[in-house]
Amino acid sequence: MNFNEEHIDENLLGKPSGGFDVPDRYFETLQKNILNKTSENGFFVPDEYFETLEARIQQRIPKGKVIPLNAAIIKKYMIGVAASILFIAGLFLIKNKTSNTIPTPIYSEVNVTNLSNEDILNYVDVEDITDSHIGETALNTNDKTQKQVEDYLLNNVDEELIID
Amino acid sequence: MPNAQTDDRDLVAQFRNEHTKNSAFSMILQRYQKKVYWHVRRIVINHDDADDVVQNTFIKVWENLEKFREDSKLYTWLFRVATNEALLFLNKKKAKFNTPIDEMDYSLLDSLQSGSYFNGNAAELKLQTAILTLPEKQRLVFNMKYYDALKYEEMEEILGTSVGALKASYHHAVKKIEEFLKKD
Repeated sequence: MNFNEEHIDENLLGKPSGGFDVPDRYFETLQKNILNKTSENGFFVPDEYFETLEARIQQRIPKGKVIPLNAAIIKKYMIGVAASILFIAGLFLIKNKTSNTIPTPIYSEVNVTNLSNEDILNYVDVEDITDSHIGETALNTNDKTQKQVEDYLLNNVDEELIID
Repeated sequence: MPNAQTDDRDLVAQFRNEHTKNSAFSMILQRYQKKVYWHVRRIVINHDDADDVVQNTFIKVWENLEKFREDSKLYTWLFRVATNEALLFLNKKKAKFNTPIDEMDYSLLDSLQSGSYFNGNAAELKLQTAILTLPEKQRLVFNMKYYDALKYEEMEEILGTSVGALKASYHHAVKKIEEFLKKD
């Protein structure tokens, strides 16, 4: 190789390191690499990566009150279950109330004087009042007032009406 | 002049205030995004995967920083979140390709050798390959000690492993890497 003057000038001007070489575009990226640390131990990142990273993260962040998806679904299920329970319980209560309540219009027309002896006997046959709670209560009440009733009858009832 | 730790505490306090929350988060991002990125990148190797993990990490930070108890430093907490996210990502990836959890993930080696966003020289490539042969925990410990220059006490906060166990892990990792490099 002939080292003419022109060639020497080219070497000196183009390669000021005196023969040492650097990769293409090394000096263009050196400052950026140092300032932005876009390369580390052989790993590197695309151009402008760190400049845009924050914006991309900010875009993905839900602003305002964050409710995790699972919690939102569980909450909806809980509301649904609670509503179903209330609905079923409501239906059950209404049904019970309807079946236990004796229709008012019928009883409004019922009068003791209207009842025949047969009706009363049928009622007594059907309803064993001595076994019922109401019956027991009534009997207890009668026990307490039995003395007063006997006294009243003895003092006020006409003796001719007393059947032996 | 306030030190970084004081600043971090201020940032956490500002994050808890609705009026300064966004600006505090932005400052946390600017301060730690690169450190978190390189930490994650060395775990998952591939740039696109690292990008996903870093974004997920900071979203977790946004969602959970208010609950941060401040019994550790902010950046060790950030590293813990990032490490967990990266390991979770790798485990999902292994599950996807039916790779046993304890087995080396050869896709990481493929990512490294394919040269995608990796332009290291032969020595750097060989060292990274050696690091990839380590068991996951040893790889983490080696990277955090050798590259991130973290103290064992900080690594203890991040990994929840005792200092003694971490020192042993690092020792074993160095020995294995030396043996790998001597082979060729």
